[in-house]
Amino acid sequence: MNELLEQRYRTVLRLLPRSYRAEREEEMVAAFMEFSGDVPDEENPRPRWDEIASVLALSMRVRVGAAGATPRFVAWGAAVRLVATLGLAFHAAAGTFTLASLAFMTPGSMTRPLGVLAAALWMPAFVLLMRGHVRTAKPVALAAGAAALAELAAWQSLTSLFVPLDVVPPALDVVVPLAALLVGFHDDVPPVRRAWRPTVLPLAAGLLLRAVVLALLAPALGKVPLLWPWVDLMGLATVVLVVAGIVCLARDLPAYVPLALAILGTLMLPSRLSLMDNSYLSLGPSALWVSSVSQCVALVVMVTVLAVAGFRGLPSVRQGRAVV
Amino acid sequence: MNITEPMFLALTALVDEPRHGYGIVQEVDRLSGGRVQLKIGSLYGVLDRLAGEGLVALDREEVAQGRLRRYYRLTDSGAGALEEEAARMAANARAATTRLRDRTARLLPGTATAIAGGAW
Repeated sequence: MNELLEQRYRTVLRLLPRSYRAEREEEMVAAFMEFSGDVPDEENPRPRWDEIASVLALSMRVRVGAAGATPRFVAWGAAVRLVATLGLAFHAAAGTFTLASLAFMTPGSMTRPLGVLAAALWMPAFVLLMRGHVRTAKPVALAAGAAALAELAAWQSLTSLFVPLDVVPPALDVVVPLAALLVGFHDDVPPVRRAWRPTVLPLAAGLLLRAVVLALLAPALGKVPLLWPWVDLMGLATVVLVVAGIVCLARDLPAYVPLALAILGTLMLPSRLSLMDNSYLSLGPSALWVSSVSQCVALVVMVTVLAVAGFRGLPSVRQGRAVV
Repeated sequence: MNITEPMFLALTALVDEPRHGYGIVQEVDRLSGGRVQLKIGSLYGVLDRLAGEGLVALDREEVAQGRLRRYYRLTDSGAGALEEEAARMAANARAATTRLRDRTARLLPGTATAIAGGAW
């Protein structure tokens, strides 16, 4: 009697981290079996989907450092939130870059309305997140992500050839920070209002890059293709990530920082790899190709070192959760 | 701390006596007239949050029919938080009731005519 249902519920509970199960499994099973009453094995009973969903939601919350999580998962939660924040910062910088580019367009040039919409939405999403309005930031960021993915799909529909390296990396650049935002900033995380300076920094960087740096470099860009991989947004982001990684390692920052940077670097790597397969590079001088390869190598090395440092710095698995 | 409805009901369920997991589920169901039916995963998410804030604490453990039962009790800080939240909700309810009463008074046929006559 009830053995099958209990066995199946225990299987569902395996969704939870081992440390959480060690503390809670028996009482959760007891509560569930009392709730379910007597169900003969002959009826082939299974936990209901809403019960499974509740365990899955609990598992996700615990893994990103919600109440009841071990210090190790608390650190992972902080890493996920940093991925969301820096991911949105990148999109906000790209947003101001895109909007500033509109001012430099020659009459008759084609604009992409969905791309412009996404650019205009990423900026307030980032500002809202930084200023502590997390609940408002989430739908705005979702709208920005939806517009960005729709733009990507529209662009892809124009070409008959599907090149995974051209489509998957930009899609992941949108989806991963959004997922991190939704999962990482849960109800147990009190909103933090950040200062205005770091809030406007990515916006100013995007604007400065397009309105000043590229405007000044414009005459040279056509003559010196070597500059190309370094002045596109992802190229600059690569440089920023490598510098941030060096600073992070030199200052021995908490484990969640190198972990977040390693995740972001991993996300950026396919975008850099796609450059090496790009036609303008393959037709360009070999120095250009070498420059792209060097970016990839720098990323791979930095991601590896950051990941090792991050995992080493994580609190031990054995550090249990606080006893209730 | 933002106290959600399941958290509020779970705290209320522990006011009169310590209860174990399924006992809390049953009491929340009763208190809400069947409207809030906590799933076991949700219950432990709620208990983790309440315990993390020090609003509930482990009271005792028992073994019943070979199964572990952990009983949770309301702490003094939990009672204070519940009282504060109940007062806030009561104030909101009073404000809503007062405004609804005023609205009903305005819309009463005699009153409505008088208001309309005065206005035009």
